[in-house]
Amino acid sequence: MRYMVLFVALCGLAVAYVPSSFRSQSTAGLWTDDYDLLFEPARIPLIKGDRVYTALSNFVSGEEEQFGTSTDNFYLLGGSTSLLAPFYPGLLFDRYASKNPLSTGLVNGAGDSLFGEGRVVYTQLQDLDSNGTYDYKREDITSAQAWDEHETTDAYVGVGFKAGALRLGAAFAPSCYSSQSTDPSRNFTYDRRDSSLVDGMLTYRETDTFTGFDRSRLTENNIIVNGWYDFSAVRLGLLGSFAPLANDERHDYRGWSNIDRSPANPSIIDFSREQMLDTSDIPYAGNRMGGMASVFYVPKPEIESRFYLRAYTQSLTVGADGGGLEADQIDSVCHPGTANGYDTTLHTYRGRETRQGVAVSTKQLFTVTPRFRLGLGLGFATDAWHDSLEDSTAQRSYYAFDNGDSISGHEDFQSTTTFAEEWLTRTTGTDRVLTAPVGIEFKILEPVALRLGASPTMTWRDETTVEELTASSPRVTHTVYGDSTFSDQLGGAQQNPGQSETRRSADYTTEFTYGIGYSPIDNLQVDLMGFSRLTDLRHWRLSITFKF
Amino acid sequence: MRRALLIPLILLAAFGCKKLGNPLNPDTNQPLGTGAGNLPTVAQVEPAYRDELMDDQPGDTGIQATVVVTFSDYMDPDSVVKSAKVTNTSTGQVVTGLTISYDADARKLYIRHSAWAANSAYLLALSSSLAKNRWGTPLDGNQNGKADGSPYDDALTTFYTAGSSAGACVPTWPPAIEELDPDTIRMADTLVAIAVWFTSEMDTTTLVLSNFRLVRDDGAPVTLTRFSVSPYYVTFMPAAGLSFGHRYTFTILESTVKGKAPANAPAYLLNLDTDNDGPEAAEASLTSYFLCDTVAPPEVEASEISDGVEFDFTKVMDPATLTPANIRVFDSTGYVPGSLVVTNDAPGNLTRVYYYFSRPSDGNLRAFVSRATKARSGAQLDGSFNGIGGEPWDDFWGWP
Repeated sequence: MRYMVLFVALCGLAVAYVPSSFRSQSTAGLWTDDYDLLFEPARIPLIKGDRVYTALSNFVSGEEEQFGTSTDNFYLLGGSTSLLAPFYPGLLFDRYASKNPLSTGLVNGAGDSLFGEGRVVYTQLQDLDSNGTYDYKREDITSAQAWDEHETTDAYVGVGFKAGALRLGAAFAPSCYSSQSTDPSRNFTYDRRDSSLVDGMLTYRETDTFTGFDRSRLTENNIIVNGWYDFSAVRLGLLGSFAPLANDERHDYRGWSNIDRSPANPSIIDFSREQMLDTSDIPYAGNRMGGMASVFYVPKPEIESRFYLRAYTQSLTVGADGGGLEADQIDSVCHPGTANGYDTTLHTYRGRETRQGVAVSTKQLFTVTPRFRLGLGLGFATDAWHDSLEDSTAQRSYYAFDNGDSISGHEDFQSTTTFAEEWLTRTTGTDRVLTAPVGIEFKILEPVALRLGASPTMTWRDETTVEELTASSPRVTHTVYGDSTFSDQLGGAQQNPGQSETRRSADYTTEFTYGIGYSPIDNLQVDLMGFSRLTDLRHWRLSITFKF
Repeated sequence: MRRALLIPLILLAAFGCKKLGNPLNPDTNQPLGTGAGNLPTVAQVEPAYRDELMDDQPGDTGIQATVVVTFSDYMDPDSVVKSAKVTNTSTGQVVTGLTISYDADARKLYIRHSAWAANSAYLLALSSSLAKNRWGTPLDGNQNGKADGSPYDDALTTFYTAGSSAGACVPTWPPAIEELDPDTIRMADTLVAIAVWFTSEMDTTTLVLSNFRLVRDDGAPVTLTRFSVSPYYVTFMPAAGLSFGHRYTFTILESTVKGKAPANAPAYLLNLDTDNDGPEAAEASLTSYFLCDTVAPPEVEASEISDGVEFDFTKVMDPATLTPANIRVFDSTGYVPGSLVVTNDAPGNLTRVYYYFSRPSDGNLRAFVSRATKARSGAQLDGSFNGIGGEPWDDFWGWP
């Protein structure tokens, strides 16, 4: 389930631009603006003239406060044009990228932290025999890296075509989000050299290297086709979409440590060596298909009834190479004897996430007077999901010790431990959402319009999560001693453990929204939200659209 | 599950040589656990070995009593019940009419008879070919950690009833060597007596010269004479004086040396148990050796000095063998490189080696001298102080 949560969270990050205008946001989604038409390509021809959207449009999240401190730090550019009629193209593009140095955990001589890529050399000279001259040197060289990288790119390219009452459109909306962290505790080198200044030789050498990354990448390429036909009082619209989805969570860490306690004399072998590997890759891939049928009925110019039927299905499957490996290996000279061993844990993931939904809704839009508009809506949506993830774990450890006396005795042994288990986590759930939004727009004085909206929402959710052990092999340690005796140690066994949880909830919420639309000149549209404290401009959220 | 870091790995390596501290290392001090692979054993018997079986219903006629066997592991009830056999060794008759039951939870086998014969000694045998634990692993009756098969791994115990005594009980363990002299030591006596003591009564007709052998290290056999013999020991002497400077190997031919036991004792228990780990199908011939020489091998002692360790040898050593590879010092970090200064400062102008550290030491020191070091006479180091140098266990490990 946690991967699904992560995926949904990443989806939210990936779709950086909000497909909803300030007018729509402040009237509970009932009254739309030209910007909203952009995302139904066959309706782009309805945009009269040209539009230009910039970083001032506040369409990345809609939460930017131009006079305050809240900013999304995105570059955004877009617009639409009617110059190529009967073709009406529209475009939206945003991008964010950052690479920030983090603390490496190393400090300089003044005690300040080193960021990004740091290197510290520490040298200590000692007078071991207190005769007034240095005879021993220890040198530590440590380097580490710490970075945090994010990159988000979204684009929307759509084109509409108008031929009489028929309008056709197609769009392509790719999104890509990636992040990578470089953890200094797993990206470092350490080199220690001890040397005798009297003998002129190395007396101790340790080299440690650890490198790796933690990376996530989410891509979505949405393909949209759309068509509308305008009858005299009725308009019919159909929209279909298909989006290949991919989400890859991966980390890969590798480490080596080598201690040589006799670096100057190869004839004396005294070392400790370790290797470590920690990799994990959980690639999800799948697609989402959706469709929408729309009927707009306009019996009178001041009355418009809109009806929508939406449906979608989404499926994501863990790739065949989903899994992970954790491995440690040691090899060491003892005093006396030798020891070596390894410990490996192999994970294999299998899983699938499916989600379907259908929604029906209507908007009733009334132009009561030229200065007052009223919108009422009603909608019902239901979603169902089924997620499953199977985690198979197999562990194997080996350790051998030889006391080095060339005689096989009880002190010498080889020990092997095995363990395996497989857990299955299943989540099934449904959502039913009933909304009844209401929104008004009142022109206080031309060209200033006050907007208000309320969106009462009733949500019923039913979700069951089941975790169960589907297979297990208890931990068994088999030890064979040098005198040919042996012993077995058997770990505790589990029989059909598991747990389930069912959550049923019902929430009634009402979200109130408000805003102001102001068009001082024909070429400029200013929309404003978040001005509840009129005199405190820091919380104002502005959206500026250029018109031509 | 977890992402190990290098630092724990380094710590793991540091503890890698400490057998009980390494997470990859099973605790070898743990008793054998229960489970599929372990050989089950008999943990306790009532009455105790060679003890009296008491009548638990003294008011009734005859001897009513129960023998209780407790196992180390959970046994297969059917197999363990079928494995029990009781023999009246006073008469040689197998006891019938037993009521045998097994309590799986208590891991106890109950063997009851309502009329044990008085004036008798009994032998209870649990056949290892039948008795198995719940996972099918056979009984390890002689508790040597190996599956030796039946009858060698049969679990045996004896007891007696009123009117008899412990002396009437047959042995349940084969005879073994209690002591052999000289054994792995240096002797300066060319006419040394070689004595073998046994743990139980032996058949003296098998303690004859043809079953014992003494061979010089160059392969030359040494003629022995039997000096004395009794049911519990035998002594030999070389017919002629031994030669100094040679190692002599003494061999007992196990297959022909037999014990002596009362009637009705299991025949396989008469075989000499040369490695003292219980009866087996094939016992290796016992070999031991001693060195006949007047020249003692070099020994060494180590003591800590300022910034180093001092090694005092009991002989004048061959300096070519006093190398950094053969003389080392370790601390908690590991090998401590150092420089060697060879002198004749030891008492008696014997060899003393000063080992000066090339780095600061950390923690307790441990000194090592290889058995490859030699005295000028050519004798290798005797780190075990048994008078013989150069043996596999003669590396010197000391705490200065």
